Amino acid sequence: MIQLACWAVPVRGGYVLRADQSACTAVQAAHGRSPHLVNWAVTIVHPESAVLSADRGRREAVLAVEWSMRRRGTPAPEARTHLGWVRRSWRSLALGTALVVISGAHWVPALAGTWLLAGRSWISALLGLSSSCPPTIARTAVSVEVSAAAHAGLSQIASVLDSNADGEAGYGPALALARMLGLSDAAALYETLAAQRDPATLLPEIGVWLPDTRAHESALVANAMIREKPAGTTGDESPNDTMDEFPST
Amino acid sequence: MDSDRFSDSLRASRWRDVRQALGDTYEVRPLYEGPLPGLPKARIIRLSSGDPDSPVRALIDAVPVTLSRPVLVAGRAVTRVFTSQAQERIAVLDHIALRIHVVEVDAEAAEIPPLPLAYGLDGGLQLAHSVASQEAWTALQESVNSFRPTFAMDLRDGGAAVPNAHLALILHGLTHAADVGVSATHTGATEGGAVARETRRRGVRPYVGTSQERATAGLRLLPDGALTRTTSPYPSLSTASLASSSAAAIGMTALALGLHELDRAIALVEAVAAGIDQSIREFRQAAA
Repeated sequence: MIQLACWAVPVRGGYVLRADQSACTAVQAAHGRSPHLVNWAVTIVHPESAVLSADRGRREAVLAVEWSMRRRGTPAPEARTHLGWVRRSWRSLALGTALVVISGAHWVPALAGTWLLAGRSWISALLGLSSSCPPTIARTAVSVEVSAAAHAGLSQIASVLDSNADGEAGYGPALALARMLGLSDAAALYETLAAQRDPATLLPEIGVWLPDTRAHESALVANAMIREKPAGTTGDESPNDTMDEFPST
Repeated sequence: MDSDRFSDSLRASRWRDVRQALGDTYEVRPLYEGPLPGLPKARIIRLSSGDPDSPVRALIDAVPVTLSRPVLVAGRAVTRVFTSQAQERIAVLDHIALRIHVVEVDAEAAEIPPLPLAYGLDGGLQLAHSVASQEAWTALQESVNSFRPTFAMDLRDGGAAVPNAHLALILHGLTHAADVGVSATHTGATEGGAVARETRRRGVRPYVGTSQERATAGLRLLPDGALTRTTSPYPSLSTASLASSSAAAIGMTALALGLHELDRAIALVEAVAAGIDQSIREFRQAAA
């Protein structure tokens, strides 16, 4: 089981879900494990005041974690070839060969040389210590459990945002507090929001937008109204286009 | 499609022309209107056409987690193709029920920023999911559940993850993928292989990656060059996987990879053509 944290960073009108930076580290720590042992337990860390349950943010949290775990910006893993194996193991090969050559008739250095040349990799493979699968195999989770937990630092940030509900100060105070509390993921988000005010337009690499319950419900009602009463039509029975055009750009 | 047509498809004025004619072929319904990642104002629409009572029901989804120009152009091209009055296209709609999800943007589509750099299959898969917005996803779920597709394909742009243009076809819903190598009797494996073969016949190279890349990305190789997820812990991340789990549809993600946007758009359009072709074949087999 790999425990992963997903920050529900408070912003105006809702939260931005962002996988903790340690997600990738956790996956690397699973190096060599058999894939069937890897499950995820994602905890959505949210402010105490949040009306946010695991069910409510489940899809967004999994999306955020998936995004952070997928390999982007780093080269694709090198294909395992014989040449690559030689390149990685040349020190062991050289030392093993030297030991075998200088051993003469003595069995101890000869055994040590043989071990370095072949035995170590064979035993590792036998015991599954050096899996041929890359460490990131942990991405292929067989199950995902999502839970939610309150976080005191995020609660303080939410209070700061609430005290400045008109938004005049932007996200500056929240950014300062996040930095002071050492919440680097939250601080990175507020830095982005300083330039891009609408959290709903954030790209997934920054975070996944989740409106708060009240805003969510009103948006759902608005969307239902769009679907039920499209402009200029009587509804579902019309076979024709039921939408007004976007204004000209 | 060539580079001129690609650029032309991105123009808002061109889309408005197409849009006005859609009502003759499709029932057009709005699903969501509001901001999407990278887009301050956008709209997701649902286009339905064909025989609504047909047992063969194809769903094409061009609403990715991050909209890119190739997906937009491919969605528009597929939409436009069926507005043609060519006999063969009318015949297609006589045989199947068709539903398409596309995004409309309130801007010149050429202004959509290019995708960030990605490397390899795993990097491309970051972009394979459906839209993140909860309201938009709820609307897409309703659309899938009301349509009950038998075949669903997500059109996704994996970016410049590999230098040459390729298409990775990823099947959803094969529960015990480890057994697929032994037996190809699982639902969707045969059809997925047929779509992969047809795509290759149309000149698009399938991308299967190295065994290590597949392991990293959590994919397994099927016969004929299709791929499948090794596990499916959370199916509701994309429309095709949702259709596969909730409607027992043959769900697949067409992930275009390559350096040039035009090539990726072409690969996606060819994937749809191959998928529709397979659906028609399925219809004929059912009729026989």
